[in-house]
Amino acid sequence: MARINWYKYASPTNFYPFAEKMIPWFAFPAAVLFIVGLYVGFFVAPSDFQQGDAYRIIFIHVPAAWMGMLLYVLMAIYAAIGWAFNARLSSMMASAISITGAMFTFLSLVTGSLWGKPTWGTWWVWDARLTSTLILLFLYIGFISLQASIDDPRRADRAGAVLAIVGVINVPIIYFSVQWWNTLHQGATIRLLGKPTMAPPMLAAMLIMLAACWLYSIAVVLVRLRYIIIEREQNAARAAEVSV
Amino acid sequence: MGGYAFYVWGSYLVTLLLMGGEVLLLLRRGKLLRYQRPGIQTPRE
Amino acid sequence: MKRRHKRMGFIISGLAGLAIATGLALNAFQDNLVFFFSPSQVAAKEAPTGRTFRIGGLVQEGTVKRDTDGLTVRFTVTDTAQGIPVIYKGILPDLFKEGKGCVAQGKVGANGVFYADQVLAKHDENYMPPEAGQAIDNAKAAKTVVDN
Repeated sequence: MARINWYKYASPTNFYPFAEKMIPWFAFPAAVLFIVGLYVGFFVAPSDFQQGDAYRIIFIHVPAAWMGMLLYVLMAIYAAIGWAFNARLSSMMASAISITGAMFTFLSLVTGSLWGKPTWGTWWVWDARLTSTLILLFLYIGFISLQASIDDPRRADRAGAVLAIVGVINVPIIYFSVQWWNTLHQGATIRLLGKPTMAPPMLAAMLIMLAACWLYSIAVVLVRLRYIIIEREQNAARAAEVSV
Repeated sequence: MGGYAFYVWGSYLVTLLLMGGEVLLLLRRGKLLRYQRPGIQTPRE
Repeated sequence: MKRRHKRMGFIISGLAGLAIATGLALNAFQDNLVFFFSPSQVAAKEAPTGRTFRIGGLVQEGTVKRDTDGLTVRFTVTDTAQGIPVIYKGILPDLFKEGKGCVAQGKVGANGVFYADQVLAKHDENYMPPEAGQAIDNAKAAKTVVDN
């Protein structure tokens, strides 16, 4: 078996062509899975006994909400590694993840609102689940604007890392909010322990959409990471020219 | 869709706009980068 | 003004805005950690009866009655131990049904009746085809008959 030197890919310059090769392997399966997931969700899965067809929003709402939370944890881990070990690529990865994470969190709030109006009877309530998810969006926006407002990339990375790490506490709060407090939002359908309380074709559609969202995120983040690598190198080169 | 068409299609329309928007913005960013530095393929130190 | 100062101002105002936004959200969070009270809590005088609050529970079977104006609805919210009569004038959400969950916002009158200005439906986390849902409802109904 050929030995792969993984340390090689920790350097932005070596990672760049590697990422380029990987992107299509995520982008195309993502597109296929989105189509399959929507097909199963709309043509195979039956309507719900209580909500009729309104429940079909779940196929995008739940994957979007999970991606929002999981990407935040990933972003914080990469930011922390970048800070602790002075690993530039890791910090750039955190920046690349932040936009996609914010997009998914926003998507989960909008689709949740569109689901809440016909079923609960309101677009929005300040219950613990909805409020903590809104705070997650604020944390993403804070991370993105903090990084955008600091010119020196290494200082921006450090400032972002502090915010990202502090904000991680919000993720378990979101997850357990429906158990810890009275909320209008229903409990978890899929639990770590115990069977999901959902008919199999419905569950299949949701899990396929989740896989599609993962592949989409990886592809988009890798593309953005490549651009961040180029931009930072350009800026560094320009700064060097000016100082000469 | 049993009276829920607006909400269900609205959700998937927002999804399309957000994901499509993210991809389009990324493609534009890439175009801009290539325009600023023509012939760029891989960065070299 | 130097560029550096301007940027610092930008950062500080941005962070201040974010802090205010988070503060407001946390404040709402604080007020709503207890999003609703159960009828038992209201009976035990744990709810803030002086001001507007929310009660949550199941809509008791057989209690939903509409007045002749077609808008005013009377029903009982129960947690199977205690029940509170509710009067509400307005449109009910689609998922509002007898035996299902609901959250009502309003005030308790001197007569012990809860005057609601908003009624929301709280659904559960179970999703299944209508036939399966029907089967479960039938099984529950059968069980109730046996229990009685």
